[in-house]
This record gives sequence, C-alpha cells and structure tokens, in this order.
Amino acid sequence: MKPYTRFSDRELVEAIRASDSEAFHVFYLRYYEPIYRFLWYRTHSTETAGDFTQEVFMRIWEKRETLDPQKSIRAYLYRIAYHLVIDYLKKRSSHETFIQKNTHQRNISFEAFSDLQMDVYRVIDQFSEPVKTVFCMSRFEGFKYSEIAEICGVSVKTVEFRISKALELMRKKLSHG
Amino acid sequence: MDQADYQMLISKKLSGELSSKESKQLQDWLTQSPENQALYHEMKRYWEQSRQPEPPFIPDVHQEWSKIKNRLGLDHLHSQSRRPESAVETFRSLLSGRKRLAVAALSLACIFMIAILLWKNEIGFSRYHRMVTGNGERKEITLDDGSQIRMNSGSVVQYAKSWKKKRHVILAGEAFFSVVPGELPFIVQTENAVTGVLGTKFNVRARGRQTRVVVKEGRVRFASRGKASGEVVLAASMMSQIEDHGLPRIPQETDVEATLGWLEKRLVFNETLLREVIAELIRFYDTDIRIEDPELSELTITASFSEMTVDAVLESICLAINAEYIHKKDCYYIVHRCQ
Repeated sequence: MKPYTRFSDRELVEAIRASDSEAFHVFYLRYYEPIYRFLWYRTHSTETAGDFTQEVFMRIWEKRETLDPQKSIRAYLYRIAYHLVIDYLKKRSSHETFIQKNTHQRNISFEAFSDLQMDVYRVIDQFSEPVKTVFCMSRFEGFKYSEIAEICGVSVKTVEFRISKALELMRKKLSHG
Repeated sequence: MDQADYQMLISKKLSGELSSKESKQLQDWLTQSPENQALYHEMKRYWEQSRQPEPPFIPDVHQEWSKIKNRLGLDHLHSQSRRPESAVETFRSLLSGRKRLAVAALSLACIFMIAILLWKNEIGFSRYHRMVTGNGERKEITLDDGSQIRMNSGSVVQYAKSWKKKRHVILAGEAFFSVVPGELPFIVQTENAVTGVLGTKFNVRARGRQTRVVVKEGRVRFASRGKASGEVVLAASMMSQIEDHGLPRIPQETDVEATLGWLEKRLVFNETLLREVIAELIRFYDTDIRIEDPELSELTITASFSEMTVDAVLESICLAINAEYIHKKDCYYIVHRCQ
C-alpha cells in the first residue's frame, strides 16, 4: 500500500480504472472524512452521512471504468454526494425536516464558537439549500467557482450570484450600522 | 457599476476568484470612500468568522473500509489480480529441508518479538493508563472529561492518556460507563466488539468469547471487530451481544436493573449457566469454587442475591439444582447430592 499514498489523485484514478483495489483503498482513506463531514453538515444526521459516504464510494468503484483521469475526481465525489443530499432533502416532507432539524440541532456542539461565529452560523443555517451549499463549498471546501458550477450543475454566473447573495444576507442580518 | 456589482467583486475577492482587471476595479472603488472600505471589511469579517461545527461522531475509517470492501467483494478481486508470492517461491527453491525449517523458526521468533514490542508500545507504557481489579475488588475511574467508569471485579480497563479523534477505552471484564456528552465519540473496545457512544450510561461485559452491552440511558452503537460487517444501534433498556467474531444480535428489551445489580453489590442471574454463575461468584467473593460434576455446570440458575455470605449463596443454589457443596481448604466444591 505504501507507494500509493504518494500518488496524486490522477495517478490513483488511473489505477482505480484498472480495478486496482489497493489504489481504491488509498483513495477511500484520503476522502472518507471530508465527504463524511460535507454530508453531515448538509443532513445533520450521522447515520445518513455515514450511509451516504459509503454510497458515494460504492458508486465510484462501480463506475470506475468510466472515470476520466483528466477531470477532478474530488469534484466528481462531491457531485455524487451533492445529488444524494438533494434527493434526500426532496424526499422528506417539510414537517419532518422541521422536527428532525430541531432534534438534531440540540446535538450539535458549539462550544468552540465565539458569539460572532455563532451569529454567522445561524444566518448561514437560514440560507436556502442551494445558497448554503455553494457558499460552503467555496468557503470550507475551497472549490473554485468553475468546479462548484460543475458539481451543482449550474452556471458560473449563478455561483457568483449565490455567494454574493450569501454575504449580502449576512450583512443585512448582522450589521449594526 | 452599482453597489451589487461591487458586492459581487468583494465576494469573488474573498473566494480567491478575482481576475487582475477586477482586482483593479475593486481597488479603485475602495479608495473612493471610507464607507466602501467599511463595507469590504465587514463582509470580510463574516467570511472569516463563518465556521462549521464538528460532527458529533466520525465513524472509524478503517472499519468503514472493511465494510465497503466486503460489500464490493474486493478481497476476492485482490487475490485474483495478484501473482503468487514469487519471492517466497524463489526463497523456497534456494533453501531446503532443515535449513528452511530453521529460517522459518527464526522469522517466526522475529515476528513474535516485533508483535510484543508493538503491543507494548501501543498499550504498555506510553499511550494508555491501565487499571486492574482483582477478585472481590472494585474501582472507580473518573476520566479527564468527567466521564466515569465503574469497574467490576476481575477486570482490566485501559484508557488513552490523551484524546485526539476519540475517547478510547479498552475493556476486558465488566464495567459500567457514565459518559459525559462531548464532541469526541466515546469508544469502548473489547476483544471482539466495539461500542461507540456520545453521552450515555451503559454496561459492557466482556467475559470469555462474548461481549454484551446493556444501555441504561441514551443510544449506543455496537459492532463486531471481526470481518462480519453490521452494526446495531441500541436505545435505553436494550441489550445486544456478540459471540466470537459473529454479528451483533438484534437488540432486545432487557431488565437493566438486573444487569446493573453488581453496582449495588447485588448478584442477579437470569437463566445463567451454573459455570458462569460460579465464575461470577469467584470474582465477587474472591474465593475458590469448583464444580466437581461437569454435567452440573450446564444447568441454569435464575436468582438474585444481595448482602449474603458465599455460604448462604451456595446453599440456595445447591438447593435449586439438587446438589451440595463441601468447604475444604479455602475451596468450595459443588457435587451431586448423595442419595
């Protein structure tokens, strides 16, 4: 397993395409936690996040032969994850979402948050899902606008607009001046 | 350009998406007025102060990997794609007979030594505290996070000196855990099982080849450490157990107070095999008890004892199974009742 850990994503994808399970193992270890965190942040359910993370990697393996080493595999991972989340949120009725959200919120620990960070978090939490996802992908996952556009299946202009909207909403809700 | 356009430039600047032309536009706009600068700094502050909370629980990636590996059948694939161990083959052809045996023995010894070294380093002196209770002895441990562990007799608890990703405890024997809620998951590892929680009260009993979990409060995840994948989630007053490296049993309702009897120095048995009852009594009273007739050991006992002497307990057990006990030289012998 040793040489693989130094492989770039592209080299790993090439090996995975050739059904190399050790390369897939390294790839799994590399992205398990980021994907899990992303999914947990969207669903606020450790169980759902855990199941979906497995689902994301299973799909990668099942479609390994169609992977394109020229494209960002990381963006592809998030794209699968993002679509799982969208389907999940659609399926749940608004009533259910409300209850779940409230029960889950209690389990989230904000101990390390300052007051301002807490306020900012509350505003982000009120964003619509598309605005929230786009903002978080830029801010926390460090994706480029072009990548976010591809993951979410929207135009780059839409990404620009949503992130700018997110910051404007924060200013409106939090500004004292 | 209007205000909205400049806001767009600011957000692009913050996400590192600004082109050099746009950068120039933004600079010019900022120098136009202090209000513009204030707006920029305010938005920058919100950007920087946005944070994501930590998930309350992050599954163990290696465990998750073995699950997905099983589901996708990767082990099988792996062995197919690999050539037979050619190095070993070459080695074999070079050595023969006794020499090979000697080399094999030597390498085995080496592996054994390395295993001991690794084990010592893992658990022995550096990273884990170790607490042991002898027979008839109990201990309480309060961990740095305030969580409490109450150890039953004849048990060993090892816990990590510092926590990074999880609060890790290794248990052999029996203990009751009162876990204070925290960001890091609390993991109890036994020979064959892993129990994970966030903040709850529960009892873990790892004796012989069996680990049994009973939950008093909250929810607990329980999984095998073996190859079999599958995890069960237990709610309050549920129990599950794992034999050897099998799958956890489907959780079922249980009498929590009976399981936790030992905390109040009460012995509670519910259709328990006599040999297990005796093993428990040995730990509880720190005395030697032997079952002389093997067929007796498979009988089951349902009883509850509190604050009784070992003689009184043995007396009532013997009455129930039509046996008798003899006390000779610090040891109790249980035998068939003579007709």
